[in-house]
Amino acid sequence: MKYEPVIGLEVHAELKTKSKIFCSCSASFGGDINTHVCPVCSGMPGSLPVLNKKVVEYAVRMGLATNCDISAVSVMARKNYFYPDLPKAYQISQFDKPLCQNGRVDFEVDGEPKSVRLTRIHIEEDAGKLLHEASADESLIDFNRCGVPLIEMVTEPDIRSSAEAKAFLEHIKTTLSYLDICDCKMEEGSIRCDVNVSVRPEGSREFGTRVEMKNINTFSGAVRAIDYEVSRQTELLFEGGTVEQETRRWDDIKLENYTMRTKEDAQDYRYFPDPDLLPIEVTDEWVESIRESLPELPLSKLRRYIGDYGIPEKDARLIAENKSRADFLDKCEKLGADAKTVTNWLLGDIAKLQNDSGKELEESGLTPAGLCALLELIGSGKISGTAGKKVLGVIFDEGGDPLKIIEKLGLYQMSGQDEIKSIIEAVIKENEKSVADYKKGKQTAFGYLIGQCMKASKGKANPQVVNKLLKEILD
Amino acid sequence: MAITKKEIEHVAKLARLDSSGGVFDTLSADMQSIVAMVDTLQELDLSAMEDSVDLSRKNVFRSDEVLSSFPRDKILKNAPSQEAGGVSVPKIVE
Ligand SMILES: [Zn+2]
Repeated sequence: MKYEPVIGLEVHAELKTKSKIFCSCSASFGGDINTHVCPVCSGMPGSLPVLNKKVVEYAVRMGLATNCDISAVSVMARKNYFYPDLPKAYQISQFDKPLCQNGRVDFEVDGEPKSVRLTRIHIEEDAGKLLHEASADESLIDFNRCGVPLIEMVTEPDIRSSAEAKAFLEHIKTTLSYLDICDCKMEEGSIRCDVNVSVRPEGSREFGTRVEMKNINTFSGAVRAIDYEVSRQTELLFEGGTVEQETRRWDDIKLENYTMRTKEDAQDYRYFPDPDLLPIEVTDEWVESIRESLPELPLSKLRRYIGDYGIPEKDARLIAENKSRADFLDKCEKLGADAKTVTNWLLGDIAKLQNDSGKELEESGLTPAGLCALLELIGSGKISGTAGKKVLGVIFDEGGDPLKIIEKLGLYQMSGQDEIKSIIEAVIKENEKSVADYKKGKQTAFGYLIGQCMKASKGKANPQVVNKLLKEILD
Repeated sequence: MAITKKEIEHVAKLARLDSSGGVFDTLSADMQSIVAMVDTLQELDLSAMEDSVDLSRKNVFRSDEVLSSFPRDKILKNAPSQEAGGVSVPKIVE
């Protein structure tokens, strides 16, 4: 019998608001320990949370981008559990009335369309951070992250392989970055996910017993965790065993998981509406105004790049997946540049400069207008392609006007016929032997003469023009 | 609704209360009478009510603005134990 994996994901994304979800503390990452903390986010008795309006707007943005119904009325609820990183002993989250429901995420897996239903998206607060390094018998708590806003996206069990899970996660990440609502810095934990895995005989419509896996910090880690768990369950069933419903913790170093909680000690969160917070009403007008502010999303860009610009699919994907590249291309195209040429530069020399410097496009000195000006200078033969690459490097590092850089570096290409003719004539005079060789049919002599002309022009002559004129003169 | 000893132990566990030593043996009768009192609420006919969310007050928001947080020493003032700017707790291992 063959077994088929059935996978559902719970993805948490930190929203990039300036302040926290219920207080005015900074939500920025990396503050000195316990310096972004106040009575509200440290759970002092008597403090009162007030909801950050931006959090609702950002969550609705994601809801609209994933085809969700936006709830006209939603309610914050308390999720009760004890853990040292949770100072109130409850997390303010949403339960039976989440902000967004019944969504659908459309994406592609190896070029094939795939759809995953989203059960819900709700808003909640993040917990603090436990630091274990300090000593062998104690942990330290940093409350800075307490109250940083999160959205949690829960899928239906529609995913059938680790590859699909990875493509889904990549798509969610791209969407979050397009919507400009999350930093998407995996190393800072801005996106985290829990995975639910079960297996069932292929063709069966029933679900098997599912196991939840926690502590997955990277997308590649999710792939490893899913593959491990699918084969663990499959082997168990082959040997005649049964899968227990439990929560397992993934260890991405040892590449194995182990039981955290069994069904017997499953958490009982005793959710109830938070009496400190009033219901959230999102009117149709509010939804529409948020909808109008949505940017063009990656899938639509991809289709435009392939369909309208004729960019090869693989390249189009590499551009559309990266918001800053896509924005850059769109701006260049608006300025009149050829989209295919820009794509080649973006994925070639510019990508190499980015790799070497570790800089994002917007951190470099290169602007769409700068690249367009440079491409025009190359296109019209004012500078050679090789010189263009040199200029690109300078602009990337320091910014500046391509014309001025060309002047400063003396990179102008000599295209004037008369100027080049006089160089060629001088070279012919000094190389009578090579000329004679060429006339006897020795092709290498011609190459040598071109080389001499280029040298005499200090590399500034346009090689195509030299080639053409030399031929005219000699033949 | 009957409150069993098992339920009391479950609630005690959730609340991190020590249920050893028979301290809860007498509680089941007490809790049963408390729950019975709350049970009278079930007698209300709420079938005509559409939604339990009261929308007479709603949408209290703050704008996304950062104001200064509390000084760290003030935040840590009540912590039983602290070290290097953090609240110190017994080692947590998952
Ligand atoms: Zn705060």
